[in-house]
Formats: sequence, C-alpha cells, structure tokens
Amino acid sequence: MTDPKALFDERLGRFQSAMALLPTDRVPLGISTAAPAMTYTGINYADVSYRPDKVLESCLKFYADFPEIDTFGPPANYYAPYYDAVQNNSYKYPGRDLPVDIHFQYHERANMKEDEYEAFIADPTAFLLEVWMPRVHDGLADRQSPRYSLTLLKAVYAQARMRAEVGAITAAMIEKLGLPPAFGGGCHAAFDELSDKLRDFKGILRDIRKRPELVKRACGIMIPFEINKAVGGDPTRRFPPYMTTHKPMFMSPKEFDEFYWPSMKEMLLVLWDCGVRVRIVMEGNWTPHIHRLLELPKGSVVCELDMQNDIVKFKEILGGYHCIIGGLTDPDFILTSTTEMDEKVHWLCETIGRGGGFMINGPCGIPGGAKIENIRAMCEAVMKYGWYDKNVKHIPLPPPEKKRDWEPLIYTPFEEYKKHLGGSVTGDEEVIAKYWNAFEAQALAWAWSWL
Amino acid sequence: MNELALAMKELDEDKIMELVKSGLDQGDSPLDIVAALNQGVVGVGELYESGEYFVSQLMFAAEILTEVMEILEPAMVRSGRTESAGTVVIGTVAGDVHDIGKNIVGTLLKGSGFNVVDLGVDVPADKFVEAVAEHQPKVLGMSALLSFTYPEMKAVVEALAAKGLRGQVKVVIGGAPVTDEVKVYAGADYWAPTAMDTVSFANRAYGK
Repeated sequence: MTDPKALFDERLGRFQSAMALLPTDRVPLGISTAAPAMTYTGINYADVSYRPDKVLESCLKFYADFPEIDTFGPPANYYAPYYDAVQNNSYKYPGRDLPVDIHFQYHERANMKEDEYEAFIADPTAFLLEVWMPRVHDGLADRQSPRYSLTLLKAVYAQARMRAEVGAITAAMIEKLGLPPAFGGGCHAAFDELSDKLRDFKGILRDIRKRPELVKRACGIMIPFEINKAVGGDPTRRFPPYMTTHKPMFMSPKEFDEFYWPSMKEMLLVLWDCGVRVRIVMEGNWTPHIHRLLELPKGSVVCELDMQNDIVKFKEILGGYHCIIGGLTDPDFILTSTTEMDEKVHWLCETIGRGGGFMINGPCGIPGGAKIENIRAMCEAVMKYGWYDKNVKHIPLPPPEKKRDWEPLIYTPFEEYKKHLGGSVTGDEEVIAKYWNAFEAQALAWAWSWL
Repeated sequence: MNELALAMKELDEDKIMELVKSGLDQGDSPLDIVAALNQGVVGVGELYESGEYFVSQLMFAAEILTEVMEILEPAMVRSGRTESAGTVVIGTVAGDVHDIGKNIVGTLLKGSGFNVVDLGVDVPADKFVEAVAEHQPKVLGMSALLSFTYPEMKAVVEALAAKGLRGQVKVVIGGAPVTDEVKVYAGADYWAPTAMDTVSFANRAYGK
C-alpha cells in the first residue's frame, strides 16, 4: 500500500487509537522531532532554523526511507527568522549565535520583577505587551523609536510566514508521504510559563516561599490564555497540542501539588471538555508526580516520557489509563549497538507495550547525532516484536467528544467598540461584530503566542 | 548543630542572612560561619538523600549560599585566612550553554569547603586541560544538558590524556542525558546522578 491518502488514514488511525487506548495492529512509532531526518540527510541545525525548503527536502527523504514511522515532528520551534524579526534576546540560534551544528538554546532570565505580580495579575495581556515584550525583544525596547512600530509589524508578518512555511511542510508530508504530524500547536502549564519566561527559576524558588499566594494567582490568571493556545493549535482536533513541561522534574511532590498541579489540572480538564487531548511532554523525571494524572479523565492526555522517567512505574500506575510514549534513551540511539537496540525494543514491546496504549519514541524525540543504523534497528524491531493483531485495520477516528465550545479570548469586545461609535451602528451589527471579534481574537492569540 | 547550621538546613533564607550579618558584626570568624553553613549543607544533602528534599531545595540552598558568600568572601579575604577542602574544576562542555546543574554542583561544593574553579558554559576541551594544568585539582566535573555533547566529554578526557594529566585527576560527569553508558563511552571515572553525588565523590577523592 503506497497511496499517501491510504497511508495517512492508516497511520493517523493507529496514532489516534493508541492515544484513545483502543486496540491497534501494532505498537506505533510515535516520533516527534526533526532531528533524525537532519542526521540522515546531513543538514545542520542552522538549516533547520533558517531553511524550511531544506527541512522539507530532508524530511521527505528520511521518512520515505523509514516508512514504518507513524508520525513526524513539525519543526515549529526551530524557525529562527521569527525571533530575528523582533530581535529576541532569550534564544540562542545556530547560524546566528551558536555554531551551525548546535541545537537552539533558551537563556532563562527574570523578565518580570518580584514586585510586578499585581500588575501582571491585574491585566496579563497588557503586561505582556507593554512590559514583557520590550524586555525580551530588543526591537521593541524603545517605544519612541520608529523601530518599535516597525518591529511589531514585522512580528505579525513573521508569524504569518512561519505558520505558512511550517504549515507547508506539514501539508507536504501528509500529501506526499501520508505522514501525520505528532502534534498540532502547543501550550504550556501556567507554572512553567511563570517560571521559564517571566520570573526564572531562581526567582520562583524565592516566590513560592515569600509570596506563595501571588504565585498561585498568577498561575490561575494564565489558565484561559493557555487553553486558548491549545484550542487554537489544530481546529480539526486530530493532532494533540504539545505541552512541554519543564519544572516538575525539580519540584518536590509538596511543591508540585501546591503550585504546579492545580492550574495544570484545571486547564487539562477544560481542554478535555472541549474535546482536546493534550500530549504532555514530561521532561526530566516526573515519576514522583505520576499519581496526579489519575485525577484526569481516562485517556484525556498522552504522556510522553523523557529518559529520566521510570517507564515501568508509569506503566504500572498509568497503564490502561493514559497512553505512554517513549521508552528509548539518548544512549540507545547514540552509543549502543543495533543488537542492543533490537533487544531494548523487544523488551519495550513485551512489557510496556503489553495491552496497548503505548508508542515508541526516543526521550521526547530522537536525539541529534543518533546512529542511522540504530534508527533502522528500532523500526525493524517494532516490525518484529510490536504486533498485537494484524487483522486490525485503522481508519481515522472522530476527535474526542466535545462537551463545550471554547470562545476565543478577545481583549476588547465589540460592545466596547459600539460604545465608542456612539452606542449603535447603522447597518448589520452582527457582521460588523463578527469581524471585530475575529480580529481581536487573532490579535490576542498573536500576543500570547510570544510567551 | 548551631542556629545558623539549622537555618541553612531548613533553608530559612531571611534567618540565615540575619545570622551571618550579625555574626560578622560581632566579630565572628568568617571561617566559623562557613563551617556552620557547611554543616547545614550536609544536613540539606541528608534530607535530599532521604527523599524529603528534592532538586528545587538543592537549587534554593545553592541560591542562598551564593548570596551569603558574596557577603562572606570579602570578610574572608580581609581575615587573610583561607582553608580549602581541595580544588575542583567544573564547566559545561562545548556546545552547551546550560548552567543550572553546574551551578548547583559548584555552590554545593563551595558550601562543603571546596575551592571551585568554574569555567562557565560552552567550555572547549583545551580550556579544561589548561585549568587542570594550572590549578592541579584532584577532581574535574563536566556538565551537559544536551546529548550531542557525549563526544565532547570524551574529547576532554582524551585531551587530558594527551597532555599527560589524566592520571592526576578524577573526571566526574553529570547532567540530564548522562548515564553510566556515557561514562564508559567518555572514559570518565564517575557518573553523578545528582549534584550531591558529585560532592560525595569530591570528598572521597580528597580522602574525606
């Protein structure tokens, strides 16, 4: 079977079935990064950051030669021109600040001061636009300069172009190879946003001791904005939004339960009611916090594990309740032999894969520098040991059931504009309001996409 | 354990700062203050090992120590007395600019009385070698967050051997993607799964 449409339906159905804990024909290969394609075709991280044409060419070649793989990782985070447009000072990019063969890196820094919590809580969007953006983007540092307005304009165009170029890669992968993306859009847990982008971790360590209530209120105030991001990622709800988590690995269960989990849980519950299943990327070691995931409805999230997580414990506690993705480590790809890879995949299929609800992947993706023969060995091993029932035939599933709709957030509702116009309009108010609110929603989503 | 050591163990930042400042004002020896802080850090390590404290508490302990040492170091220089448990050279390897893990290790080592030569992030192999030649540490620590750095760790170990320095220094590696397999691959002596493990390793290397 080589028809891309048929392949797409089969792979998407397999991917969706595993996420929904339904029977699959075999363990899916739920790959989520562009790195293996780069290694295979010899392009570097600077190419991934600046040359979407090369990324597409590279992905088409790699995934055509590894047809066992069921999903691919769109390189959305790698698109550096987007950050150049605003002169972002927090990311270091290959080909700009870093050698061309190095992954981009983020420099954490307190971009919100300890005495600015009240201002942030009072109007987070205003704070984001007026205080945070100028601190993080040098092109917006001086409001009096024409550079400020020009940079804002560039930022809008840059985002539109990024979406078009990354979207074109995804569309081509679907159309030419029948390969679905591993995720559609993304969001973060509120505590991570507060810690990563606003206060930095050193700041938040003090804040949870000295101003715990403000930390909780700040997390709470961000929930709808993060939901808004997640819902906006893939309107078809076929591909789960990606939620990379950064700080649980450092936190004690007591800290996690008090500061991290409440806002994350509330967000995930609303998203599930909206028919959105989130792919949680569990960086570092989440093992001390696993049991909290049982507080969410069955199958409402997918747990993608980094290599420090105890996957056996995850299977023991979450098996049959939430789908698990991962199992392979960086050394499995970079250092070990093909025989060891074969044995590891065999073990994973026999243990973690038992009963389904499992996809094989590296630790939050296959790392750069992976040996191609080990990637091949991984695919071959899944074809040897990963089968449950060859009679199962996959077709795309309907998205998760929706119990409510999510109204996109807007900053200034049409009613305010109507007042500005004198309280009434002469023509069709509904159509005027429709456009007003749509642009407001787009503008607000744009603003929050930078956080 | 005196009041300061206990405050350190309990990570009571305000109390620690108050006790350190009042101690210095009353003429206490900065070295005695450091000794009390060290005792508290050992207590933090014990709580970490027992599972009561997590990485965030280690990080906060490191933060507090950094802040306290800013006050103490000038006083120590003035007093002209310095004692060290030994020297440890640390750095994040070339290509990687992450420093959280390295900084925790560095501060906890300082808190345990070591003289720490921190080479920073994105450190090329020759810088590590130069620092080992210059400072003659018994322990060299390399940190990484990104897995593409495995060959870089190996390169540092090989560069030490090429300069005839390998026999005099124990190499410890740590960071999220590091495992025992990486230790073997890189030719390091020890893989530290946690920051406290590096401190214990350094203590052993210096016969404590």
